Amino acid sequence: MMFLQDLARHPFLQHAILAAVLASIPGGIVGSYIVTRRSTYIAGAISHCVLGGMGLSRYLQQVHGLAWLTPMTGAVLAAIIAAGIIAAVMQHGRERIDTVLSAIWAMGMAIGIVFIMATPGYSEDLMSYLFGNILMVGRGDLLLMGLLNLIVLGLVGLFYDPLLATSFNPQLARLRGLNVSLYEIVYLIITALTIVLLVRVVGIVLVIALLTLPAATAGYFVTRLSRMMMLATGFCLLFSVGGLVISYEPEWPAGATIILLSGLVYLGTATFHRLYKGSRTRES
Amino acid sequence: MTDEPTTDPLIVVHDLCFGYTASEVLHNVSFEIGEGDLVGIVGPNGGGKTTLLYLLLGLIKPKFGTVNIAGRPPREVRDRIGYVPQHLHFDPRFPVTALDVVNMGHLRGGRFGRFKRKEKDAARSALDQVGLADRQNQAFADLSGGERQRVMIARALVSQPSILFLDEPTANVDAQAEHALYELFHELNRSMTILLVSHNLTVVTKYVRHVLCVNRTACIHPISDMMSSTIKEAYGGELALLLHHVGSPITDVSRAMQSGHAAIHESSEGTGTP
Repeated sequence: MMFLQDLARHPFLQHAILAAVLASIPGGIVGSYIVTRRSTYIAGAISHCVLGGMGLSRYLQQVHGLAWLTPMTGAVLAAIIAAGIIAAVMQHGRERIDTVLSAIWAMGMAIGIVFIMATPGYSEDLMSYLFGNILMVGRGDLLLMGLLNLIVLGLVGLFYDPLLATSFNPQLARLRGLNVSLYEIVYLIITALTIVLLVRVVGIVLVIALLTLPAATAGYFVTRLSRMMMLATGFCLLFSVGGLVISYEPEWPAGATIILLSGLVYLGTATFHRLYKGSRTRES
Repeated sequence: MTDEPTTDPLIVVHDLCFGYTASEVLHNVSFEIGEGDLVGIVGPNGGGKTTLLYLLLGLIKPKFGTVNIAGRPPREVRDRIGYVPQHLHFDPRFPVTALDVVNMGHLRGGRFGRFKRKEKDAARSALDQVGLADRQNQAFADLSGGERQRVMIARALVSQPSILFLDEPTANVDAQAEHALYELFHELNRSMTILLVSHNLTVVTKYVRHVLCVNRTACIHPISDMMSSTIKEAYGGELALLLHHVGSPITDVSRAMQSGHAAIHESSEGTGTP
């Protein structure tokens, strides 16, 4: 196979595989929270808002010479700010949350496009931000991804049980004296960090698919959240490496191939489940 | 059976008034409950039973009056209270097992890290106590209504509370399961004070020591009063009266109830104040 031969030769392919691993671990874990908490729209708003951070930091880097302000750094900052705004509105605002999420979603993208267009040079950056480019992941990106992994894993390890309880039933958790708002913020922060990680691999537009499809597929096979996280991580890795391998020879876009593979497996699992296990319906 | 508490009362409610809006759901409620008691809370729908439990848990604050549990405000002693809510709204697709739900009873503010072996063992023995030891790894959503209710009771028991509040614990279970649950409450009552809301007066009177009637106001009666035929008749008559007055303004119902209670108090020479 051409991919395997090239893998030994080209560091960029090795980086790509490593990026897939580093994205899959938090992707499966946080994706399981997103799916079970039914908060895909929150993840969507944060991921699209990330474009604003990337575009602005690229502009400042190119035009004003702020070398340290890489698009990845900008992405992290934008995701955290978006998560902060969402947390504030959810906990203190009286606005309809989906309206606010739409505003964050659209404005983030608009800011991104304005600054990408204002930056001299090729605007091909835009395509790689939107659809990702796992083959362009560099050593610095891998380091940042590793760091984000440690933060996400640390937070989930520390807060797994209260996060499970607050996700399952916030009222009951509050009765046990848990600070439900605090765990909501923890959840939003790990979601934001994970989105930044995944944007590098599949891009802003497709990140929602990689966060939800592996976890949703895993959900058909498990009865515990921890198992769902492990299986979702496995699926996430399988889809991203599988998509990479499939796309390599025909030179398809890797991100899109990863998503198509995830979607097909998810739809196949859902259909199979419906046809063969549909009779055993769960009462609510 | 001794009906009167021998020690200081554990729960003291004094002149309590509460309303979610300007109109009051509970008005001038005063009663005391002794340690080790098993109290059935009865009354019509919308009479304030659940609201009273919320006040006892410190989830809402009284407009007037005080609630004290072991001499302290409820919020401060919530660790000692186990609570089983009436309806559990949950996502049936959420991946949790029965044991996971029971383990959630261990949580409290400021607690981090994973559950210890000792806590997991406590959760298993709580499930055993409610007769579900063999269902610990079942998906919570796949359990029957009665089994889920027992899981919720195990969840409340796991933190070893000294007081247990149950809101309509037998609302979704069949008669046989209901009987088993009351046997369980009777057993648990050896080590803890129990307050349970119920709509089924016949079952309640078989097991509890006191009955707390709640309908805008509240009165507590020892079960021995309920058993004497005259009072039983008076109470039965009053219940019928309440049902007939469901459509009328709450003050009328309350007044009717108080006059019903007056009969009880006259013949028992007053154990609670209306």
